[in-house]
Amino acid sequence: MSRSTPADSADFHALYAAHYSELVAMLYALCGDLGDAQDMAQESFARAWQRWSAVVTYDDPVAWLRRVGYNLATSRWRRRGVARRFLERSRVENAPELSPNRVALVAALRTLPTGQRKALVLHYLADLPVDDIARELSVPSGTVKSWLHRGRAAMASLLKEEEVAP
Amino acid sequence: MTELEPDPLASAFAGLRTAVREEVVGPGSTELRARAARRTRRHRLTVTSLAAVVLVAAGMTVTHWPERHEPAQNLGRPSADFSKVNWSTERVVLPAVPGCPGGTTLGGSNPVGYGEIAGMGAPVAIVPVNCPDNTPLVFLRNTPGGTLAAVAVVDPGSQIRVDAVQVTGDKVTVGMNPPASTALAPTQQRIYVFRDGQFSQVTKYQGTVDANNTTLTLPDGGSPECPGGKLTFQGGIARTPGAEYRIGSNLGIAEFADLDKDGVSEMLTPVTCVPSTKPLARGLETALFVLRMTEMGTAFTVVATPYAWERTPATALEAWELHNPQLTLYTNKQSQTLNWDGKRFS
Repeated sequence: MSRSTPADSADFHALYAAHYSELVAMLYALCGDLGDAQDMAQESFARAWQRWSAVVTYDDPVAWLRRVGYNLATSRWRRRGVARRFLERSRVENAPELSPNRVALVAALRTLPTGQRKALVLHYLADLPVDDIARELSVPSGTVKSWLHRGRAAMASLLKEEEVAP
Repeated sequence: MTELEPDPLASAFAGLRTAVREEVVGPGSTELRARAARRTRRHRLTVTSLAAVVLVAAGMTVTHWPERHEPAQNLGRPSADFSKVNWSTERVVLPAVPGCPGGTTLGGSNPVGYGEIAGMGAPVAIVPVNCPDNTPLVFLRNTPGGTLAAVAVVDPGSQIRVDAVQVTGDKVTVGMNPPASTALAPTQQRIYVFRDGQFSQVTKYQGTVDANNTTLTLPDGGSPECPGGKLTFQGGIARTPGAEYRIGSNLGIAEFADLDKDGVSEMLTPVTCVPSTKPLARGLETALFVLRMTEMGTAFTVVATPYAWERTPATALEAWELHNPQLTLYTNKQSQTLNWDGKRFS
């Protein structure tokens, strides 16, 4: 980003304020590590600012942020070394501990195939309708419906097992 | 679950969202902007330093060299503006688009497709782009201002090497192969359809077929030791009473190219013949065949034989190079360049 204006800063702050925690929650649900999720969300926003003159013109900058976040999550193992150097500088606090129920939910999500997991996360955490999920994941709507159906069934079973487990 | 029953997952996810919002304190937008600015400055400094080092090392002589020497497979007809870009040698910096937050075209031998995709409203160029986290195909359009705009992205996956792209109506056919042609690994075709402003993949992989385990009818080239015929390969080997046939050669491995420009790569495949009586002279044991995957994606057929087994020692094969649409055969320190005429190399 070569030159930024106060309006740019205000727009970026508005986007951050409205969607930072939502992006962290989504990435946490996808990758299962709250610390990583925060790092990746911060990285996504930092990249957005680096390209703000383009990002701000998108119809849905949040979709762009999510996409960057997915890509970071997908490639986080490969990028571990590179990311570590950035993250060591950027992590500002230790990841908080969430309640066992929240952890169980995320652990159950981690057992699902990637498509089902992404569909559930976009549906429940980003509140996207089926057609928007299909567009974001570049798959037909029918596939999304199938993923949601199977994902819900699998999650219900997994969380029920968690409840009855000693 | 009926419409009236509460969705237990909805409340669980809502709880997760609330917990993250309450528990996670981010660094703030000001800190992230400062972080991005520091990174940009570091990047510029690094690039400048590297450029200076290169210029000094090169004695202030700047040379452009392509990554590979093979020409790009230009499929379709470029529009006037697109044709001004030499995609095979230039590295074009592209703007961000969902799926690729900015990147640079790969250049080199990578394919470039052109076409008018129904629903996009203007001609597009389809180029592989090196993005921060992936290497997708990016669809580019000329803007009225004369710049390139990225309008869509299709990402076949990082482990896939795209060999050909073809546009037909609202369909984009992508021919692809594994990243390294270590043997006759499966070739694939995927079709994406552009509807409602997005691409959806409408075909599954057709890469289940493996030429190492298939039946090929090799033409009888007149060689008494290696007559060809219908051969069933298992693990890359087929045996007849008179000879053993092996897919592959110590001279080289299979190469992929979309010779007929239908969006699916053909394979130039060496097959080595070892007669059971006595071995053939060096260079005569290898024949070259062009294989095409059947429309059903379940087998291969032989469509051409650029080099058969009936040769004499004077024309023993030493090497070959495939630069679509040209095949160069190197025999006994001489070379012969053949052109693909639509049916065979001639």
